[in-house]
Amino acid sequence: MFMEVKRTVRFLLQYFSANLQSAMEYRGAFISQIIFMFLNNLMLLFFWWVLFTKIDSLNGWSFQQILLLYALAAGAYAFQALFFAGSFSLSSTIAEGRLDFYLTMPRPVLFHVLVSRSSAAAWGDLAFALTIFIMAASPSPSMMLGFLALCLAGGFVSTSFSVLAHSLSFWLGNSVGLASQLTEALLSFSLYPEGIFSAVTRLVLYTLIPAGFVSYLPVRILSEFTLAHAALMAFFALSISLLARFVFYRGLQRYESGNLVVINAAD
Amino acid sequence: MAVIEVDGLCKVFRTKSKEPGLWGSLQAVLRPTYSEVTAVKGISFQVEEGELLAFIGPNGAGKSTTIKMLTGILNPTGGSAQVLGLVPWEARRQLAYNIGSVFGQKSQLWYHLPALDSFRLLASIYEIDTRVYKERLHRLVELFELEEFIKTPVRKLSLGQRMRCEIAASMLHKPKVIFLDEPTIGLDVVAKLKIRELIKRLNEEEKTTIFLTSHDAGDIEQLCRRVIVVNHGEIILDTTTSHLRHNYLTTKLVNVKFGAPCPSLSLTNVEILKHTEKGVKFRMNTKLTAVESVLTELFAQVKAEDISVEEPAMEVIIRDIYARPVQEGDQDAAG
Repeated sequence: MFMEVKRTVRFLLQYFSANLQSAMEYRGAFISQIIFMFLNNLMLLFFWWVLFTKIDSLNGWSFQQILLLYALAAGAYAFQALFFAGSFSLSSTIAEGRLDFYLTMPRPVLFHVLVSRSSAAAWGDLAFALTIFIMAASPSPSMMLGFLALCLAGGFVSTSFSVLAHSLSFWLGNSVGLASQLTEALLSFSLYPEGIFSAVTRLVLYTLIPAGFVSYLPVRILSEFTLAHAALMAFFALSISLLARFVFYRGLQRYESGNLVVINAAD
Repeated sequence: MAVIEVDGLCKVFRTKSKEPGLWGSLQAVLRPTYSEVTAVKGISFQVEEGELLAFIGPNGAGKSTTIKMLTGILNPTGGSAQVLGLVPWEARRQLAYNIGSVFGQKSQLWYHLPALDSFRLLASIYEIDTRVYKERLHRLVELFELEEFIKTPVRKLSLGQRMRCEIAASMLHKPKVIFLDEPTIGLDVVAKLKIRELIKRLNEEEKTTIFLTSHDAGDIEQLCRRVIVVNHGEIILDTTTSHLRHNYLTTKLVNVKFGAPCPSLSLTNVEILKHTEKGVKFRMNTKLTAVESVLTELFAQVKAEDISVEEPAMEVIIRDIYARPVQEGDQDAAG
């Protein structure tokens, strides 16, 4: 078991390193992507700052909690984009027959596709997440560890949700647009405070579009830690990961390949 | 010993059909209709260890679909297949350690990185021990003559150099069987010759079984001892390359330069293409008349100074096979 985990982590890091090297081939683009992603995130936060200069709280949410929300959402997204960026283009990989390469390799197909890409811009998200978290919480080392663990769990949730959305391509054909809309919906909802939504919407956000597990619940865990919430978070992250895996492999049986000319280039 | 055994393998794709134009698209959205396309219709064959086999056919014949089933990419609709004793679509990962594949139109190399980096990554994917990898790399660099460009980003390589790297990459884990799907596609004459030479060396020196698909008659003629021709998802010919050449090489083009002027000439069972006082050019079919009898008839009328007999290119033979029904005995010839 330990050896298997070690092998898997090594494999992930090899891909991560190859992606990083590939992105750094274009030094200017690499650095500017990171900087602009950081600034872009900061701009989004700027509007909340303007709002909170007029009000003290928004349905029970303070500006500090908004900062935590953004830090956690950006952290989860950064985790997905740095290690599992293959999830962003999974539907086109399926629809264009690009799974062939992964199917001829002796590695688990889903894991291999997910780790095969890494987004350079996500370094900007990671830097943003850490900066904002340090600013908002002045964390102790253990709190920092907790934050990273929650970003990791949130990243698993968003990656799994992407896999579920993009796997629709196995049944619907080319569903790149639909999958993008669903994954963007998850990201958008995870950047708004839970308090502004009605009970029905919240139910949707803890089930069908699980933004609640990407940012709302993690914010609650960081603000008022309870073991039950932490366990719920871990349980959901694990469950949706297993569900995504199950759905992907069911869909894979319907895979029909294709004859598109393909090159192996990082995004 | 057979390394590939295929029995009644078939694959049916379900495709959406639609009328042309916007109205057709609207109808397809509201009331989609589906049709079934049989890409592979119950084919059966065996490939022995160390064989260099050409699996050819026109576009849409079912070649790539067959390779995809044999490498575990696609699940078949019916029939059975074993590669190295494993059912590809059931033991895909286990099989992957022992087979290699190169799809001419799909690169496994990283476009922005040198091939050496892709090799390193592939070594990690195949879990090749560092020492074994270094030895193997050294051997492949030597065999494929990669030294000059192995550290150059793949995007800067010529297509021929890239293909050499692709084949070397698929050989890193020392597979027993390698599937090459159109490895010479888009290459110039010199690069094609180089790739063919390397594939031949690979087969001879490493004893690798090679399953090759190609549209290029030269690949088949210069590389393979056996040919399987597929068309419309069925095997229409399974024979040796030499048998193919002799059995289908019935048309000959004869060029004769006369020693003395000959204004009139009469030859039976030949098609005269050009006749001047100085020479004649005609086409003959060896199934209708023997070369010897035509030449005897010719020499009785004229003194020849020079004679040349041209055979049709393999490409023409293959085109002929696609167009006409299979002849008796062709299926057994390879056995």
